[in-house]
Amino acid sequence: MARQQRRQKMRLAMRKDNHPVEQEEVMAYLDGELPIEEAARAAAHLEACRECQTLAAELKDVSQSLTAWEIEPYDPQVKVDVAAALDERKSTKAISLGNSGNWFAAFLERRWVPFAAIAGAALLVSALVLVPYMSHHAAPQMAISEAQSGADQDRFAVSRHAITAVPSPKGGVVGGVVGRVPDGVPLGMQAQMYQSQAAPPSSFAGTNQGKASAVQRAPMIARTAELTLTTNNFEKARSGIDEVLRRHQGYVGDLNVASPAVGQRRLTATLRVPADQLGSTLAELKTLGRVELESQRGEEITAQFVDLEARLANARTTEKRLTELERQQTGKLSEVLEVETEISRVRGEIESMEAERKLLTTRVDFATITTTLTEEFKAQAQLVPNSLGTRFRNATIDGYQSVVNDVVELLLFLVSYGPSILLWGALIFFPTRFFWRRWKRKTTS
Amino acid sequence: MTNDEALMLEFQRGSRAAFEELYARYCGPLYGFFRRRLENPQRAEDLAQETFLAVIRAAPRYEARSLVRTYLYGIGLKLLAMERRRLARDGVPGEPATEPATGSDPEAAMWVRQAMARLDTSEREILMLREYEQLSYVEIAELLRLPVNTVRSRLFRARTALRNCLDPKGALHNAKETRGADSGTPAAAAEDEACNA
Repeated sequence: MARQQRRQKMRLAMRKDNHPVEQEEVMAYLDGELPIEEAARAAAHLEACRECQTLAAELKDVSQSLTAWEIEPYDPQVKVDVAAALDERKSTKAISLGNSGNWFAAFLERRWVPFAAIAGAALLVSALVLVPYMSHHAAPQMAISEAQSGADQDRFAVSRHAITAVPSPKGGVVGGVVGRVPDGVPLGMQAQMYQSQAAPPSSFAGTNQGKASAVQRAPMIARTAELTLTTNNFEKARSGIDEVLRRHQGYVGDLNVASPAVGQRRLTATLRVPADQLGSTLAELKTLGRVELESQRGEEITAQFVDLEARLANARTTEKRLTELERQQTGKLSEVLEVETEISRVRGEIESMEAERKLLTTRVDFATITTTLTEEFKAQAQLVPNSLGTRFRNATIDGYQSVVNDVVELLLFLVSYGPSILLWGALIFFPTRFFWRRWKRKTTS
Repeated sequence: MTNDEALMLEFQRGSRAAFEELYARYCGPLYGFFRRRLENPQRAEDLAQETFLAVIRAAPRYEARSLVRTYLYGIGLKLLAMERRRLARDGVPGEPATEPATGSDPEAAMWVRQAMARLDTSEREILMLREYEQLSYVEIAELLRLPVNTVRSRLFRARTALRNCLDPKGALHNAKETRGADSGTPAAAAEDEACNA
C-alpha cells in the first residue's frame, strides 16, 4: 500500500515538474513508436532524468513479466476443414472459369445474397409505407402556411416588420420596429450581436484558448433552455428582454416578431448568455410574464472535444512531418508536388477541426435560451357590422374556396395513397378470393 | 522472404502454396490470440481455423489496403466478439480465470493472468494486442477504431495498473517464493484488495 502511495506521489510530482518528455512518450519511445526527432529527444532526456529512468525500468519489467504467460505450441499443419475449403475453392474457381453459364447459381451461393434480399424488401416496404405517410403529413403544413399567407394578405393584412438592434448613443441597445419590409422579404432576422454592452466581453474571446485546456479536464456541457411566456404588456416585456440581455452580457442570436393587425403579437428569439449566468437570466426572464413552458437541457460534449483535440494533434504531427519531408525532398518534381498537395490537404483538415473546436467551446461558454413571448389575446369589438351584401359575398367566396380545397385534398389523397392502396389491394385480393372460393366450395359440397 | 501481402495476392490468384505459407506463419499467433482470451482450448483452435476459413471465403474480395496481419486479427476480433456473445447467451463464463496455466513457470503465468483479468476490458485488449500480438499503436488503433493517442493513453494506463498489480508481490521474478508463502493469508488478501482498488 505504502509503496503504491509513494509511487502515486512520485507520479504527481513528475507531472508537476516540467518534464520535456511525458510519461506516455517514454513508453512510446521504449515501444519504438516515436518519430525519429522525438525519439532522440526522449533518449536524451532519459539519459539525464532519474525519474524517467525508473519509469522506463518499471515499464520494461511489466513487459518482461507478461512473457510468463505462455501458450502451448500449435501444430502448423493445415487442418482438414481448411484443406477441404481450399479444395472446394479451387474446384469452384475451375467451374466458374469453365462454365460461365452457372453465374446465377454462384451468385445465389453467396452468403450476403439472402441478407441483401431481406434488406431490399424491407427498404421497399418502408418506402411504400413511409413516403406517402410523410408526404401526407407535410402537405397539410404547407397548405396551412399557404392558406395563412393568403389569408394574411387578404383578410388581416399582417404588417411584417424587420426588427433590428441598434446601438443607442448612450451605449444601450434600442430594439424595435424600424420599418415595413416589402413583400417577399423573410421575417427571419440574421444573428445580430449587440455591439455595445450587450456584446460578449473581449476577455471571452481572448481567454477561449486558455480556457480550452482547463475545460478539457472538467466536463464540457452545452446548455440550452426553452421558455414560453405570455404577457399582457408586450412592449414592456420586449424591452425587458433587452434589459436582461444587457445586464448579463448576452446577445440575440435570432429574433422574429409577428404583429398581425388583428390578433396576438408574438416574439420568438434565440438568446445567448454566458453559461454561468443561465440560471439568473432565466429567473429574470420569467418575471416578464406568465410562464407557459420551461425546460432545460445539458449536453455533454467532453468526449467529442477530447476526440477532436486528439485528431487535431495527430493532424499537426502529420503536417510537421510532411513539412520536414518537403524540406529534405530532393527527388522528382512530381513527388515534391505530391507532398505539397498532401500538406495543403492536411492544413485544410486542421483549419476545419480548429473551427469545429472553436464552435464547441462557444457552445459551452454561451448557453442558448429559446424564448417565445406571446401577447394575451384581447378581442376587439366591431361596433359597425358589415353590410348584408358584403356578408353574402364573403360567404360565397368562403364556400367556393372550401369546395376547391376539398377537391384538391381529395386529389392529393388519391395521388399519395393510390399506389399503396392498389399494391396492398392486389396483394390481399388474390389470397382472399382463393380462400373465399375454397370456403364456398366446401360449404356447397 | 515474400511478405504477407504479396502472399495474400498470390493466394487470391489461386496459389495454394501461398496460403499454406500464410497459414504456417499465422496459425500459431492466431491460436495464441484466441487461447489467451477464451477458456476452452478446443474453441480457441476452432476459431483459429474459422479465421482461415473466413480468409479463404473472402479472398476474392481482398484488397491490399492494410497489412495482412491486421486483416487477420480484425477477423479474429469479430469472431471473438461473436463467441463471447454466444457464451453470454448460453450463460457460460468466458473469462479464463481459473484454468491452470502452462509454460515454464505456470505459477507466474497464472499470476499474470489474474492481474490481467483485473484490468479494464478495453485497456486489457489494447495491452494484449501490443504485448502478445506485437501490433503497433497504429495497427491497434485501426483494429479497434480508436484514435492513436487514445490507444497510447490506454496502453499506458493498463501498464501502470498492471505494474501496481504485479509489483506488491515482489514482481514475478520471485513470484514463486512469495506466492508459496503468502497465498491464502490475510496479508495477501489485503494486497489483492489494494490491487483491485
